[in-house]
Amino acid sequence: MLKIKNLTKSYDGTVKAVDDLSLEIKAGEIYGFIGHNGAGKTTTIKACCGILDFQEGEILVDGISIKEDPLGCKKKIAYLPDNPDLYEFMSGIKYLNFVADIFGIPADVRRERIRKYGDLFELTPHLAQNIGDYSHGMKQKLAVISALIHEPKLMLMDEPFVGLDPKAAHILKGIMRELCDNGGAIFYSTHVLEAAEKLCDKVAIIKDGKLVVSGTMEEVKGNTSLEEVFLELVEEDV
Amino acid sequence: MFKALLTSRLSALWNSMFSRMSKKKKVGTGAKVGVILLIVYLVVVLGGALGGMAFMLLDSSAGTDFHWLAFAIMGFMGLLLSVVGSIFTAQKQLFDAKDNELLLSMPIPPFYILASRLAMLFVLNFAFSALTMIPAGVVWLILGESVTAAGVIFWVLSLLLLPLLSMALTCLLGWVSEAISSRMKRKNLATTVIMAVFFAAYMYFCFNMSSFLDTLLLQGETIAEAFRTVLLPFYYMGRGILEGDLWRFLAFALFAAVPFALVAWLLTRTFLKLITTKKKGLKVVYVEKKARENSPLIAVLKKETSVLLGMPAYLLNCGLGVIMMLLLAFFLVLKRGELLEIAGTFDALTGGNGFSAMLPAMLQVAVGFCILMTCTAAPSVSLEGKNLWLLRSMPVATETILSAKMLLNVLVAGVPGVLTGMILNFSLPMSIPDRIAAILLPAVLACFTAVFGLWCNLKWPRLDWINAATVVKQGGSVIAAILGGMGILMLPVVLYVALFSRFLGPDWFQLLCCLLLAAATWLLLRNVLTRGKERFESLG
Repeated sequence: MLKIKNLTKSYDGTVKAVDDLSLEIKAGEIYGFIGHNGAGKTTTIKACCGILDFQEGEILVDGISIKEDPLGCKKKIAYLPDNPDLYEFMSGIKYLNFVADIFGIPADVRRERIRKYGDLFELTPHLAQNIGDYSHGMKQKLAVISALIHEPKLMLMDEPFVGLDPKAAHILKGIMRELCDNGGAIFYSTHVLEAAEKLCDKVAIIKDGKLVVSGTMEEVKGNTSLEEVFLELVEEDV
Repeated sequence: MFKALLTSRLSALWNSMFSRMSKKKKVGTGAKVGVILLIVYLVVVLGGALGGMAFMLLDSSAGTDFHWLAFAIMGFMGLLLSVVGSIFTAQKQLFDAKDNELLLSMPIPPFYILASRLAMLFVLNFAFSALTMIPAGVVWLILGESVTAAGVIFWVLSLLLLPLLSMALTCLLGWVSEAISSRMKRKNLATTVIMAVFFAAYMYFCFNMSSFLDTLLLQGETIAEAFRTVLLPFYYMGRGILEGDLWRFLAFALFAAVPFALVAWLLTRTFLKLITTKKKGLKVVYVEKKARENSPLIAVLKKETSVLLGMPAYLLNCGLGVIMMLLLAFFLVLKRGELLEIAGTFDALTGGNGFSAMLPAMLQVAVGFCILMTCTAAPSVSLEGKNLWLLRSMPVATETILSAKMLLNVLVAGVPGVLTGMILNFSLPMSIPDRIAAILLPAVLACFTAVFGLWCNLKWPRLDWINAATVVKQGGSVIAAILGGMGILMLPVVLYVALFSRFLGPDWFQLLCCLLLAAATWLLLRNVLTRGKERFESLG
């Protein structure tokens, strides 16, 4: 579903934020992406959804190159950033309709999905409110609903559980699993290693822009915990 | 501690002028020199215009009992300018600042936070009131009529005192506006209406300045009486400066300092409560309605419209041109007879019909200025700010995004422009080329304004703003688009007067300009949709 081949991205031409990174996320997989602050996780995710340009390498979404057909790729993707900066001047429902318009979702389908996810995340009664009046968690829930409104094949998520209450986080985990069971794929970054250990099928650890290790959860952590493996790998050169 | 706070406020003001395109790219010395030159140019132009007004007032009232009125009127204008210019900043800084929570979490006494905000507002108010008071003082010193040492000292002191009076008013109006709008369902609309009322009062005063001057010459006593009774502080200020009267100046000083002290005391008492009381918007119950599908272009256009309608500063800045166009249209309908009479009188005086022939073109230039002021596209890219990721991550073509931004500008500026052109067609006797140009020129100019505004913003975007009003009011792209556009509009006027008037009528010249402008707009549009598109895609 997502193939990253030798991705290299530098911001000022000298320091490489991501250096020769290769990964493959197959349909049905929840792929965790772990690294310290500034390791290159957000840069990689943003490059995958066409927000950031990159110097070298190739990114394919369901076989389509993000460089050659960015719109084709974006139609299959949903991106959830770490900080839900949404249009604060719009009401929640206007924002969802805006996203649905952009993705070309028919009126009856979008109504059904807004009702389903709005009720699931207990946001329906607040949809007429301006986003500017939402709490951080409500904005995050709205961002999740807007990401699900076009039923994406691939979800790219940057710290998706930050700001969500335990119930909403639990619901989101269920939705993530369901999406993958239905043939979708999820690539998400996180610092919550215990949750990643339980949720992810595969995991990749990145350090200073370079891939340190990747594979199934069992392959990576072996008999220890993910936290121990991560700390060991990150502190290796210190 | 206070020094650090004050420095951060003033550097925020400074940074709002010297924007950065991205976090990785610093503004060069050349750009800074450019901005400084632009500011100097604006100060010289505005100072020159206000100096001319001060000259008329001081010269015409010299030797009369109403000489003091010149300073009273200039001071009053300075006050209005300060209030209109700083009310948005006051409201944001005092009641809705983004960094309040951060500062309150630090060991900083709330009084210091308030004092640093007031100091910043003082600088802003000083800059606005100095725009009228410095030219007035300079002209007064040059003319040398009634200049005394005491008067000069009082003039200098009034430069510092007048901002206190305007600050008292600004803070109070900001508080009233906040109190009203926070209780209303559509807070932004309410703020816009309140600001529009203030602005209308200011514009009324400015537009009627010439009739005030006429009245001053004919019935100085009437205006003087108004200042003596209603606008007492300015009466004392005027007399204090021009007569070197210590007691009257002290009275003015009290009028300026006491209201400020009261407002400052009130704010000190309530500041903490004001910024710690969470202002929640009114609860609106969601009722499911049938959604209507839109194309991506219409969806982005609707989103751009929401930005425009949801931001009072943006709406007021861009709406002024529309209001002026509508006023011009009403003027043409209501005063058609008088206008034709005046044109006839000028024709009789000059022999021939030169004035009547030029009149449609002159009105077109006026409409053109209004259209150029209605530049919604100029800050539209910058206004994406932190939300840029949304459009960038969605399957919507960059051309569609840019087209929606331009389309909104074309609709907002073009529709009233063409409407005014149609009314012009009905109101004045015109030649066929004039009639075509009256419709075509506003349409082409609206397209040019949109494309040029967007081009400027793609060239000088600013995405790292904290307060969106700074992008709309002080953004380099907005200033460049409006001033550049006006320069382009004035170029044919100068060329016609200097060169083309000898062998081409104003009507045919207008049509020629229309075609040239359309061609230039098309070329610029191609640039926006190719190189501009690349720039947009590299942002963020």
